[in-house]
Amino acid sequence: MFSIRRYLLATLLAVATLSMAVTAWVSYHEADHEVRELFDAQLAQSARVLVATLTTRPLLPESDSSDTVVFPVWKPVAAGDEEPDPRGQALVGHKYETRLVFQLWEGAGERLLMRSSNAPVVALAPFAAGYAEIELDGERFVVFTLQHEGLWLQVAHDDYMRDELAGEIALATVLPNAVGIPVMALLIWLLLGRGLRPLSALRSAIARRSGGNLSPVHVSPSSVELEPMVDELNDLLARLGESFERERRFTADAAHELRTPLAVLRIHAENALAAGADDERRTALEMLLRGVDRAARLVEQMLTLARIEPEAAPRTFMPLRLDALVREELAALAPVAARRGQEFDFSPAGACMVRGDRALLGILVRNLVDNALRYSPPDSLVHLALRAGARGEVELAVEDEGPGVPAELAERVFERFYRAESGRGDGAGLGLAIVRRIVDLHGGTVEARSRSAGRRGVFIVRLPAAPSG
Amino acid sequence: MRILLVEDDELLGEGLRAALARDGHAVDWLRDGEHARRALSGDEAWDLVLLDLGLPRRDGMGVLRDMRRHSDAPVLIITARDRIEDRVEGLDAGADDYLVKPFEIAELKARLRALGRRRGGRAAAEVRHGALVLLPESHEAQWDGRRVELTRREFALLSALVENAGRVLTRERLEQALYGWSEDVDSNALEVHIHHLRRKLAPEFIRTVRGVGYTVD
Repeated sequence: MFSIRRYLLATLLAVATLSMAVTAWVSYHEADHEVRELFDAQLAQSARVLVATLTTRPLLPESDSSDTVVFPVWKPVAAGDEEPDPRGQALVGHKYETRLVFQLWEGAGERLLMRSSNAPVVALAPFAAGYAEIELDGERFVVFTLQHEGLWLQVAHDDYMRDELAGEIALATVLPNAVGIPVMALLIWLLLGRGLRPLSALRSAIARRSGGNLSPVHVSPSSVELEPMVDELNDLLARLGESFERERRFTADAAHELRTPLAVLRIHAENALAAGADDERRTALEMLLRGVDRAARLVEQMLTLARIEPEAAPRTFMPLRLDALVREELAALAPVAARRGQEFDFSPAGACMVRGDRALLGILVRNLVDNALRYSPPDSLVHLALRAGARGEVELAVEDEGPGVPAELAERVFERFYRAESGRGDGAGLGLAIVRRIVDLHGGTVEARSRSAGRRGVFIVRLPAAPSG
Repeated sequence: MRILLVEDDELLGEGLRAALARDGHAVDWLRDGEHARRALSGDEAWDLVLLDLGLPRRDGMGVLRDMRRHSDAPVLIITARDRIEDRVEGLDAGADDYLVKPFEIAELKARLRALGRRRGGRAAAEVRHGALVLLPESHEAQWDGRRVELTRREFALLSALVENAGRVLTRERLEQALYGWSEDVDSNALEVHIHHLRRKLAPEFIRTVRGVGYTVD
């Protein structure tokens, strides 16, 4: 897997090595150039000294002799080589001397008067004054040619020396750095570890916590790079926490609210078993059935409530006509209403566009109307009005002929499992909680009112209007 | 026993009422806390109060605290609240027992009997008075060692008299012990039950206090 620490170490070392290589290359060439200058100058100087010496001292062979005087080249004395050179050479010298070669010619290549022992018998280079590069025994030599009163002197030295010197100089520059690379690598590794400490602090802060701990993570030390990530993480934890808390509360509430329906089922079942007379048993069984229906409805409503939570399913919010939606829901509920002789009166003020989720808004309308039917007497009328509100919202009012909600309970009726008049109806106390939740998800409001003190309940839902298109 | 049932759930209340009535208890049923508070602060007396906690208009705990200022009738809380703190709070507020929904009727009845015994100052399950032995658990009665068949009303009436032995119980008090509010009572029903009991036990066991009521010595 990708490692920031390894990546940074590798790239930093690569950059350092590259820059070192460039430095070495540059210093090699710089040194090479300087050494060449120096050597060339020295070569020329050697040539001049040699010519001066040779022409003033009669070391040269007689003019009629065809012999060439061979000048022995100094060789370092090998260890154990006790016997000095028979020609009485000086013992002091330098290993590079072996690489100096010279020839003294009479005329331009007419007669070779003198040569060093390591020089060939043919001319080293064409007879033209100045520098030339030649190849001798497979090695490159630089030749300096000098003409002096009919004598031509050619002095050459091995280019290898120059290469070697320049190389050594460059190496001397680079080597200490190269030795420093492992030290540098170690330091970079340690410093990176130190620099990445906030990351490991975050890791251990997360690793330490138990599964149920959703409190914010605090990282010490932190850093500007890490802080936004930690903030996002804490945001996510907070959202998760809310979600968990909602689930937990819901489960607790649900378990609690199921106790009474279960008690109902149990008691009527026992009554049926213990009943002495048939009609007594029949009553108990009928009650038991009603209890089952109510428990089933409670479970259904709890599921609905759970399903409308955003975590349960992604919602698609789109512009839709609320008037058409209400009409469809009313059509579906009409048979239910007809059973108790109840009817609807729906008067929409034109097309009302809202932005919302079709399924959720359907549940909302269904619950409101269902609630109105339950709390209205038989043969009553449920009024529904839909119109554009004053502040760019759509207002749906559902009015029944039931007792309404007392002002002091206007908020409480939307709480889960709260039943305003629990004796009446077989509601689960969840319908209005579902309504409230859906309204919240749509960014709207809902309120319960009582028209004319204790008679006629009105529920008003306001949803943000969508631009009609 | 005359029992006041305070339960807002229609179906559950109906079931409890039916189950208790089958045992010969007179059950009065109220559906909200405010009514219960008013009834309990009035003149009527109950042998036992079955109290739900989650009530409309006035919470069961509030009803309990109010009634404990002037009444020491046994209270059995029946509720869906099952946390230890709820139980502790309920018992500390003056409840005598605490039963969490859903419960078995058998357990509810056993607790009722236990509360009835404590109220009568007894710990034993059976009630003995002279030649009479009452077994509330099985609704059996024995007179002089022989088994006597009693209807549930007769049993309830006899229990009320024996538990208050030495005291005179008024007609109204006895009728309340036999019938809930909702039941129609024949004006001479009580006399009929007394007559049957005297015949099944011994004529002199239940004494009439003329113009007041009845007593067991």
